[in-house]
Amino acid sequence: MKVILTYTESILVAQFNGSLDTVTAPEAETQLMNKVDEGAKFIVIDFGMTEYIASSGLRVLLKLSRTLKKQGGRVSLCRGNQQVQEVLEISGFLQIFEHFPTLEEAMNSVTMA
Amino acid sequence: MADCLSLRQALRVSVVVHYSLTLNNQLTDIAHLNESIESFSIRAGLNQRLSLQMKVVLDEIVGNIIKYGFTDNRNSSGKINVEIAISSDTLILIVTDNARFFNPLTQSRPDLSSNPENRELGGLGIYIVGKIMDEMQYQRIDGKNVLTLSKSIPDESVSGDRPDSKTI
Repeated sequence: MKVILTYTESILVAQFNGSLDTVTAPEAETQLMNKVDEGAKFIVIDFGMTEYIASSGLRVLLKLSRTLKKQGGRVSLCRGNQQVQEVLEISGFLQIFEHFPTLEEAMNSVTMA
Repeated sequence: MADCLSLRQALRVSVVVHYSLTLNNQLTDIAHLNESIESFSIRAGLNQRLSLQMKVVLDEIVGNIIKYGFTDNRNSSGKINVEIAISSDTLILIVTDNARFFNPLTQSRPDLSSNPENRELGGLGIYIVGKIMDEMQYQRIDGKNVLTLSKSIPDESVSGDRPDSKTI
């Protein structure tokens, strides 16, 4: 799994090329939390290159979201494949995360109050 | 071997496609598992959706065993055997390990009625597994944990010709 981090103005877009699972979640968490420490507040998780997500990946999303919320920030999700969306749905994560079909929509949404 | 016995017991019918892989108790071995799932799916003519569901399910189960099952004896010869089989349009996954006794089916369910932002996430993995698979059974056989999971294969999950009545 490769983590690709791209800044567009104040928004950080994080892409995971591969899967977000037991093996790769710790690396994803480290990279994302480092960026939060550096001041990133609005983060879009782009699943466009992500094969699948497991519960260990969900925990990273939750930790990220909880941390950013305290700092007035936010996380949006986009472009998950059928499997990614299924796991988000099953786990109740779609109640707290917004998932968008396109990166543009997720970026527009993430900075809105 | 207990593994073979449990497989026959679980199936009670002939196995069409069968794959078995033994992993060491190291997280990096999950990569081998994913490769095996891919090659099994191709052989069995299963579509990508079912293949990804298998990856998620086995990541949850095997990852949990590796992370928590061998904590008392981290350096000992922890082994996890994964069997994948298809019989009569049912996908069967059997995970056997020699870790300490652990029945994942008795884990408390995460409280999905509360906002996940406020809840703890213990049991989420096995909950996802239970949603993806149709049935789960846990047995302690011969000092080993044996978890048998099954799912009926939706028609649209099979593509092309599947080999009939032979074990590959």
